[in-house]
Amino acid sequence: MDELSDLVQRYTAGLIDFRGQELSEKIISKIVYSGVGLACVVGYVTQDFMIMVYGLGVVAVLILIFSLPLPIYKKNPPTWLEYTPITSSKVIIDHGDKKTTSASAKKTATKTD
Amino acid sequence: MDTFIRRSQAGFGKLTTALTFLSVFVGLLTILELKLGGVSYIGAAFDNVEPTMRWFDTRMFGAIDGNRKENARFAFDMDVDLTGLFNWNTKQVYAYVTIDYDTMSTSSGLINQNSLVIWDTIIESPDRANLTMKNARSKYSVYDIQSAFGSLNREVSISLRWNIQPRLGFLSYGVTRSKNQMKVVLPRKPRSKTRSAKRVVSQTPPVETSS
Amino acid sequence: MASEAQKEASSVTAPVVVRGNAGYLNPKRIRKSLTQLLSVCMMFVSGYMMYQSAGVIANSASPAVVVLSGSMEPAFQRGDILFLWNNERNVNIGDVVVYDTGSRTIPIVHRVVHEHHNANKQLLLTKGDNNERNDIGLYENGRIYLDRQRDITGGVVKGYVPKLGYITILLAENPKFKILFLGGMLLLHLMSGD
Repeated sequence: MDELSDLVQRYTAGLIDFRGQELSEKIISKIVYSGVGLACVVGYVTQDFMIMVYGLGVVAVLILIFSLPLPIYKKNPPTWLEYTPITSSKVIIDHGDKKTTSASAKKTATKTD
Repeated sequence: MDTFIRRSQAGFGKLTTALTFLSVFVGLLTILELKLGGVSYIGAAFDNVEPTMRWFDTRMFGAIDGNRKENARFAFDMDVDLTGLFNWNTKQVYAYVTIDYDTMSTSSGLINQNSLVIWDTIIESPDRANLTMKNARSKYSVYDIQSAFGSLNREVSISLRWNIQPRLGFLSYGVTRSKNQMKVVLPRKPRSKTRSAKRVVSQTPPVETSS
Repeated sequence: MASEAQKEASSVTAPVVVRGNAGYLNPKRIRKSLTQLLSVCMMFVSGYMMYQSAGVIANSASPAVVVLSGSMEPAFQRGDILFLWNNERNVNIGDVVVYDTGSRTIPIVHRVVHEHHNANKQLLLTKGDNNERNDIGLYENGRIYLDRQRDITGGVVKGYVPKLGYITILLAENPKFKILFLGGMLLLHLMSGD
């Protein structure tokens, strides 16, 4: 299940950076609340209920558009550490369960320099 | 929010909240609009209301356990303008003519209040909201709980009521004010087919003949 | 040459712990799955409790219903959601009520066209707007009236939202849609990330 999830996400995730996440949330918030209000006002003023309904549909589409990984969300990419190769002589593989931690201590890979 | 799905899910969550508030707002706004529009002051005029009584013995006409039921049908004139009930949130107006009357239950001594719909219509646009009818017939044959309906002092009042079905929000109900006090007496139709001379005399006024 | 030396100097020589992809049944993973399951259950339970509370307040077993038949058109269409209120002692003529007749399992939503009441009880006759005849044929045991206390179990329709309930109808009646819907939910779950 995990592997399938990772596979799907690789193509569909649409990652953006952290500043971008804040920005998208703000933009979408504003669009939703003012869009709904505007749709209501326009519908009332024109005395046409269906105009309000179409306006709400427009808001829904805008939500989808502004959730996409747009360039404005990618202005501040996170700085990763530089790549440093592992040359340690002792590598411990932790499987996260009690049973194998003691066993893995015996399984440490030795690497000759 | 890290992925497209998470961001759009959050966005739709906000939209749902906003829509809930919108629905309540629109519902209350419509009620306010109707109140300010004075819909409780809409008047209706009835005229020439003529009841016709008839006995039936099938379930459709209220007869059970083999007891026949006296039914009433009506002819009437009506004039009412319901355009004031229409706004942007009105989907349809259900307009219905009712007759209302009280009876006394002989066994328990309690007073029964009764209302029966004799005619109705559904109006979907304000162009058709002006109802002016001459010599219209009631759509439905109506009857009371007791098997006999008419009597010499069975007085029923006629009124036109309305129900607004909104596009979104709360249902509204109301009754028109009658421009004239419309009450009518339902006569009793004799049960047997052969009428006795006595009965005829007591129900109809004597006819003057010139000699 | 200089850069290579630099790289060597900065390489990690302390013991390094690498997270492995262990067996599926280790405690950490089980805990994580159970926690997820618990939060999903909590979501359903709290939603259910809110609905039941609404039912207590409105005095109706089911305070919101989806319209299933077309007998009240054009007022109510299939998929509309109706909000009910059952706290009134007597209903009014012209009200739209939800009632059960013993033999049918689905409650009926129709309008009151005859109404008789006294201090003790109220008798009603109902009819669907879109039907020619009134509901007498639907009442059980040859009765010609409904008793407000005994039969009007749903209540009176007070409020209305159009078409929102159509998804429940599709889910219940259309097997293709059911599969599509479940597939879509699964896809969304995969896409949203743990």
